[in-house]
Amino acid sequence: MKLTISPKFLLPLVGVLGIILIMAFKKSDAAINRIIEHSLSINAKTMPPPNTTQEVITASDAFKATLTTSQISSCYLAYSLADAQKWSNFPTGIYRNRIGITLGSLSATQLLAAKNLLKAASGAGAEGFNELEGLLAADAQLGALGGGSDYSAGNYYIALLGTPALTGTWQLYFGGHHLAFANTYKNGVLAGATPSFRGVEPFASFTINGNTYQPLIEEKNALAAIYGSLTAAQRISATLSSSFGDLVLGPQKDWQFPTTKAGLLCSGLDATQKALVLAAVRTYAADVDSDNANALMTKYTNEINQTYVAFVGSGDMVTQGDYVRIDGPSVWIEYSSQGGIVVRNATHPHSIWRDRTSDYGGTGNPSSVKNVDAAVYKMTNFPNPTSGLTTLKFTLPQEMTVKIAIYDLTGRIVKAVAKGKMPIGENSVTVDLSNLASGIYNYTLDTENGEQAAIRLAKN
Amino acid sequence: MKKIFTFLFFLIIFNWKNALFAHPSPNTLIFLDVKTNGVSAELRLPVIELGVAVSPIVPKTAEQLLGSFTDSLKNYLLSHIYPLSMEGQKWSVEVVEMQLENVANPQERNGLQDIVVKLWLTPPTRASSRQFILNYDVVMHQVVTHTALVSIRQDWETGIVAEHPDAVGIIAVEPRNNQIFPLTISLENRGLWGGFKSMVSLGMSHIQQGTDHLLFLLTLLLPSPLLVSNKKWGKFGGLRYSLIKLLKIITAFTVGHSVTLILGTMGWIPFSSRFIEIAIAFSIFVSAIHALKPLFYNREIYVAAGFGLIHGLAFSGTLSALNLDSIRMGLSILGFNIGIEIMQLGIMTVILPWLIMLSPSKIYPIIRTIGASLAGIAALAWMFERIINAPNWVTLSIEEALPNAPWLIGFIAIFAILEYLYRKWFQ
Repeated sequence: MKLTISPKFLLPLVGVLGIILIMAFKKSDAAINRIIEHSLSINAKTMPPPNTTQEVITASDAFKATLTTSQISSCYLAYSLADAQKWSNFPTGIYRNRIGITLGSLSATQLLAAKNLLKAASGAGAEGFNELEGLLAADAQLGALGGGSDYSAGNYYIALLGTPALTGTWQLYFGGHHLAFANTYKNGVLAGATPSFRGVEPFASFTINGNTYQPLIEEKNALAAIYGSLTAAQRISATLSSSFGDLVLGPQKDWQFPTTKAGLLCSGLDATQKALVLAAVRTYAADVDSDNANALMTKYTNEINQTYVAFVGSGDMVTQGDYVRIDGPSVWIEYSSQGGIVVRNATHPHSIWRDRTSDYGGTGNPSSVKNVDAAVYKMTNFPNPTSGLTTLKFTLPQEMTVKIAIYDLTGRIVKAVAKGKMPIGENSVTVDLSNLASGIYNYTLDTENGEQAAIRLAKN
Repeated sequence: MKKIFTFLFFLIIFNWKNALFAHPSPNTLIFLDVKTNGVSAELRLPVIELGVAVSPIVPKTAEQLLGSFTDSLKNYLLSHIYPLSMEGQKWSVEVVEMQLENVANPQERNGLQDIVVKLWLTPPTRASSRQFILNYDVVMHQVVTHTALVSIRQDWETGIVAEHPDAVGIIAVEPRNNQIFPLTISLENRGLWGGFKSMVSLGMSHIQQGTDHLLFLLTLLLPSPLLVSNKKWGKFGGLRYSLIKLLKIITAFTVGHSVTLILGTMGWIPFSSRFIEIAIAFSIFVSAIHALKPLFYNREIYVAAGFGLIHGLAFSGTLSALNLDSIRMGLSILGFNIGIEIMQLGIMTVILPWLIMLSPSKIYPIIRTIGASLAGIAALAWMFERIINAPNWVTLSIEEALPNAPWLIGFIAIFAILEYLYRKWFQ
């Protein structure tokens, strides 16, 4: 048999060579990355990291050592915002997307190691770890009061997202019915302890297995004390006109902080009142270890004069519909007293502590939207200028969810026109703007792929 | 902005079912039934938040809302619901009915009360009922944490029926800018042909999920290739005999269920649906006995037609709930029936050849006995389930094992081929 090498043979050969070359480059890329990471880690090591981070890492390693391979694979996950966001204030029967493994599935040794890990990351005293134990006990109590197996101290999930180490980004995830937090560590530092959700039912003091608990009494008392210290005039300006059935920024409402703050600005408060506000904030910040709690409190104290407090309802914080909000440049705390679910004749609170910059350690903080030319969506508007009715036309490349709004030139929304799924091709929406003041506006189209297109609109 | 969408999708994709059925926090549920001349809307408003919305300081109770306050409640609703056409014209809104309902839900909302409001929304002249912008801020203009989950419960053209409502969006205050965006409802225009096609696929999915209908037919067909001797099932009656008999039985069943599907759709349903379901389970039991020992040999077509009448009644519930005009109803019955037939024939063609192939063999009596016994047990379990209104482990395991049915068919097919080859070569 005669062997001839035709050009056809060369093609796959070149292809294979190419792939090998690309892989070689990739490898060297990885090598460079390793060198950079290494130098970063040296840098990180030269600065003494907070002991607590090392304690959490050590406790995590000890916990991991007690787990089986399959438990490790469900508990130790890659870091992702999508997983970090999977927490809720619903029991496991309703919200099934939590990640990690349940405390209820652990052996006694494993549970001890898990609790040690939680303890290492948490504060002491009435807050932090003891509050956590109280909230787990409350769920056990709900189960005992007839809530069913959905409510149990075992239905709390623990997970580690990313590799616990003094470098890189990773998170200690803990979440169940009435407790969830997201301690995010970046290069050895606690970059965020929020979102941190607390709720409790029964709210009143209860005894289970010989121990008596009332885990959120400190928060409630501290918030009620602020209201109690306000003058009649201050109460009027602190009171919001809206009603709140629950938290505004509860689960899956990440990075949606209101652009305008409402209520009473703390700069007008006297020193005692300011101290009460900060004391209330501390009942949340102190859920993390004391070093980090102190660092957070320094930040929140420095910002107290730009922080607002707002109230709705009776001010005693246990009446249905009572609501408090503390909203600063960084801190965001909400407390909502709502109807009982299992214990019918009493209210129970939901509360959240968030941070406008450091939720999830800053991961997912939305940067500005991607602006595209109005021509991309063939946006037109007629008549323009208008004195009343005006028709916006735009063309979509496929069926998609869009949002149409009108903003003034300072970026303030003046009319929410429509949102929803719109069909492929040309769409048209006519809107009546007779109530709008004369001037120039931006007519914007936001699409589900994060693009925003805008055209100018003049109102006579 | 992207986060808002991500959140919305997250909620819809991962939580919608939960949100819809477990109804965990007191949200409003809005169901839209889209008709050719307008839209019928059902609002389920939780009293606990509606009472606060109309009177924030001293919340109103259900009795107050529906008692002397009824007219104010109507006016309240009308001033907070205003659909607009895409051309910016107002739709008219009419309150048809308001009543109190206790939510008996095992989860979370147990013991709470809803006020259920039925509205009729009419588009302006010449505007479509399929595209509009729903301006809506009932409750949430005051209770800013309140949300309304909107779904299309019925739309003939796109084949949405009550059993599978289609979530279209959430109306809520956006925390970031404190705005409530009106929700765009934009249903694809598919016309009569589209509606007809939807009904065909509805019929197909209906029979695919109707395990009991298929089991009845299969059990009845199990002994049909056989002749009877000495009041017992005997030998194979030949290919021609088998095919003709199969065709007769299937046709008779089809005629039976078509008749009652038409009658039932037009409103003639003489029995309660529970009785019909029990009768269907009984029909499987009867054909299982027949497969063991001939009960009505050569009269199978009457039995097939008779029980077909009952099965048809079970199908008709889906269509009669649609409340359509006569053209659409006619197309629905035709399309739905064609869908049932296509699926039925499709499933028969993947199963029957193997049965016919196996039926001349010596081991067919064993196969027939096992098949008939299993069908009989399933029938009894279903009857029991439907009489006491609670599932049992047999019905639950059937439910669980069902996705594996294609494997069983594959196994039977391979077995039939091997058995056939064995007979041909070694005997």
